[in-house]
Amino acid sequence: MASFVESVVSVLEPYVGRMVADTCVRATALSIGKTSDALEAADFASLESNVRRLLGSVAPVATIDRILTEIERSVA
Amino acid sequence: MNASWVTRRTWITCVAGALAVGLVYALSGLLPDPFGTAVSDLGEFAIVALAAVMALRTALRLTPGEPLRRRWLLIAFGVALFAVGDGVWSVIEVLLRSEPFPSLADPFYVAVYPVLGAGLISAALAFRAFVDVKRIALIVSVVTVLALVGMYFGLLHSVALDTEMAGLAKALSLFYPTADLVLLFAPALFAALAVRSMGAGRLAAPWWAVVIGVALLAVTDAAFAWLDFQELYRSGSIIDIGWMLGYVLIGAGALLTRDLLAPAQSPAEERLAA
Repeated sequence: MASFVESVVSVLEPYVGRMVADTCVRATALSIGKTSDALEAADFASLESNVRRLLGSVAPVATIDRILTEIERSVA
Repeated sequence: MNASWVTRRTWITCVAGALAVGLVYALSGLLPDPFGTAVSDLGEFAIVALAAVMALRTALRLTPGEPLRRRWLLIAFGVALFAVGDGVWSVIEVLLRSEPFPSLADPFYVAVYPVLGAGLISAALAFRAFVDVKRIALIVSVVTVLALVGMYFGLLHSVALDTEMAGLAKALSLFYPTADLVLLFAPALFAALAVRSMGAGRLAAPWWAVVIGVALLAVTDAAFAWLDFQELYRSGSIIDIGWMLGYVLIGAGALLTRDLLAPAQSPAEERLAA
């Protein structure tokens, strides 16, 4: 079974590439004082906040909503 | 790179756009004047106008107030200005059978530069969370300065010393190639280095199309400036393809942005279907 981080990266990578997908994960981990490997499903709210902040200027709002829905489904 | 998220509409429009460019160029070369000139001018106008409509429709599909909408409105406005310039030039060259320089088309062409340049820089800065903007700005500055030096000795110096040209004609002859480099090519390079952070990701695809389109416009403009100075340019010349293809690519960027909005299959659904 894929970890939370692997699920998040697998959803983000087709949209933003591997480097930016990792950046989103790292930013989330830093914002809540964890390491990337320690992130779990309960941290989804922080991930959502960071993804919206980082991608808000480069992606349509509707697309970001869809990405987050995909992530939420994949980690549920 | 998986391109299954690109809609059939976008593929068909891009292919149709490329074919239209080829058709306009071929017909303008085959038909005798003034028909060849008419096909060249009006064909280019139609292609650029359609690109402006695509960019505007994309902007209006985005959520009011979101940064991407403002960016696409800027790009749509820039492309529309070029279309208006082309329309005015078509009337002058086709109906009035005149080729004045400067003409009433030039204010619109001049206005394109700051507007499209601002759109590109805005697009590039949107990626600042993922790239070292100062490093990119330094690289672009060095390349631009070197290119400006080359352009000065290759073209601008001769234009500046030309005694047959004066006033506004000389000023525009110096402005256009300089603006092509500083306000189009440099922002396109800046945007390319920023967008590179997302590699082949879907969110980068529209901007790759726009960046390549604008770079093509800048190179075509520079080629035109050199040919025109040598009195070697005529409507229907092969370099006209560069302008038309440049705007087809910008239109493609607009359509790719709309494809991002479409509820296509998610990557997870694509893997299941495979």
